[in-house]
Amino acid sequence: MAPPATADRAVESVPTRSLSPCELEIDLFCKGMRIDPSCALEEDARFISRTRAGLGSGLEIVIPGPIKDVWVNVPVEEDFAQQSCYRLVLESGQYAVVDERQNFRYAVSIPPEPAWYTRTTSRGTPMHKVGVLQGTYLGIYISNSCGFWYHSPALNCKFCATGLNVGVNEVAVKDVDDVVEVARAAKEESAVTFVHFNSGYQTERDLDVAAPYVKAVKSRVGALIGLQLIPTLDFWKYDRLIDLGTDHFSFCYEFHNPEYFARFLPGKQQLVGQHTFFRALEYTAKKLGKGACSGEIIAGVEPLEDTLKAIDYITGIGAFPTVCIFRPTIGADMEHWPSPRYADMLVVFRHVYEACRKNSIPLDVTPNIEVSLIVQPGDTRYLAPRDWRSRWYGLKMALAKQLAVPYFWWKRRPKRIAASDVLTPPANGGLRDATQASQT
Amino acid sequence: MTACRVRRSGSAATRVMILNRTDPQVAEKIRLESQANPLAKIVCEAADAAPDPFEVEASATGLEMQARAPLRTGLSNRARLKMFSPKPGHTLVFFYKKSLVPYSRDRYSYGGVDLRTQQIDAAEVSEWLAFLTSGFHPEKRPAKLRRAFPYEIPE
Repeated sequence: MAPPATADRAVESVPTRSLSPCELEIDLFCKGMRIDPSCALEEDARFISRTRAGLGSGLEIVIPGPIKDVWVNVPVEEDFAQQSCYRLVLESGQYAVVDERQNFRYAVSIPPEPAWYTRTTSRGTPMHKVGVLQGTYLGIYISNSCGFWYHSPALNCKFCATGLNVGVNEVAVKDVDDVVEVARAAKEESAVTFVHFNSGYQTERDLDVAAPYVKAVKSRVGALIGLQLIPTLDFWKYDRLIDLGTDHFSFCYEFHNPEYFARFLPGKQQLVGQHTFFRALEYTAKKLGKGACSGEIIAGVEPLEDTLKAIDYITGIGAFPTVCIFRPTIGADMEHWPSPRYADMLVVFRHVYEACRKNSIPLDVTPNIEVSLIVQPGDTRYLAPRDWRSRWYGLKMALAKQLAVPYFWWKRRPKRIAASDVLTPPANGGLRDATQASQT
Repeated sequence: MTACRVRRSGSAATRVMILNRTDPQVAEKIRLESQANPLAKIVCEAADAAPDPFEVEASATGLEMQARAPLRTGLSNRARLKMFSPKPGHTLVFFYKKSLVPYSRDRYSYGGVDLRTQQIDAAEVSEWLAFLTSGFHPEKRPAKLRRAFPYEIPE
């Protein structure tokens, strides 16, 4: 699996005006950033912690802007970042990202490390080894790595470094009480509103493994809960997880083009199937309503037209597109692949905005959920054309945000949950997409 | 690149490719690790005989070695090997890179080798060292490398 020729940075046009916060975010994801010795990150920043697929290996920064502040987890560890035109500097007490091509300076801030990162749970587990802030939400990798890594030959996704992380930088098995303590600390001290649980492949027990964590955090802490798990065609499990308090499901199918899906995601191809992701996304999106679920894809590997098709598909069924700019993370099989070109990614995220607008997908309506690992659909408002359609969409979203305040306040209260966290099928066997099951 | 030193023993010239071997703390570290684990001694001897340079970390837990040969890209080689025993008769060889950010405690794993024996094939050790020298190039992965390596690794 040889990487394609390196993206030719020399032929990229150099910006002649300052970039908007979203444009800068995209370019930083593509090029990464070097850290100048003037920086005092050990005093000012959250420490870098690689969790999940390795995307969190960067440095968290916030780019202020008139529409919204944009959170970015900027690549700093990878080889391509060491050759970046961007450099983080500290000048007169203010951090700035300097584009050395024309010496443009962008003021940024560095989110401080939360006090709870350095504490331990009552069981003695370092809290930062249970969960970390990724933007303004709490991300928790709940299970003991990903089963795809333990196959022989390995079936891990080629861009992923999850199997390399657990045990090295993280606690391998997360205790439910530890998770509750960390979620409570994150809610009380970091104003976290959203707890996101993620897991690798758990041999068709993925949703079962997550259930106790969902119930515990929803009932004992109170927060919006998201799950990002390998999907199933046993749709009744989604119903059960919604009963336990799940507010959001995301499905990482990564590549829309079936050939790329098969080539780069051998585990998902052989043991799950792309159609399982589609059917589960369609089911949960319909069940939870517009904008509650997401389809996650990687931009910068498959042909651009396939990424645009993916965005149209996801928004067309009422979900929101979570588009990760491909990051050749350290240790992954694709470590030596080039990071994507800025001009291509700009096309992708302009399309995200247009597709969300056409399908009236809510943008940034939920309170205080800023995701640093991706370009959020809400960030793409900086890329919107200046026309009446964009203004009308912006007005609708602002109104929706206000109307949703009491609803999300109610959703974030600790709830008494009667449902069992042991997932058992209903008496009739439960809803399953039997027409598709034979294809797995 | 630092030139390797030559240690003369009688009339024979031996290249010493652990560049900091003469540092008293490193020499003591190598002695202690070699005494505690015969596999560590084999690795040090192989590194001394290797065509590429290495350095030993005196303050690390277990035997920790970093490749000093620069990469083709011009970037410095960050590849490290850590050999330690979680319990007698069990040795783990962990391949990783340290974070570039000075304050970060993060480590970037490239997997490891799990050994339940006190004997090892010299060819296998050569594979480890070649993997280090390559900066962990995928084509240089040791045959017995386990990429998913879910052990608690001491610092």
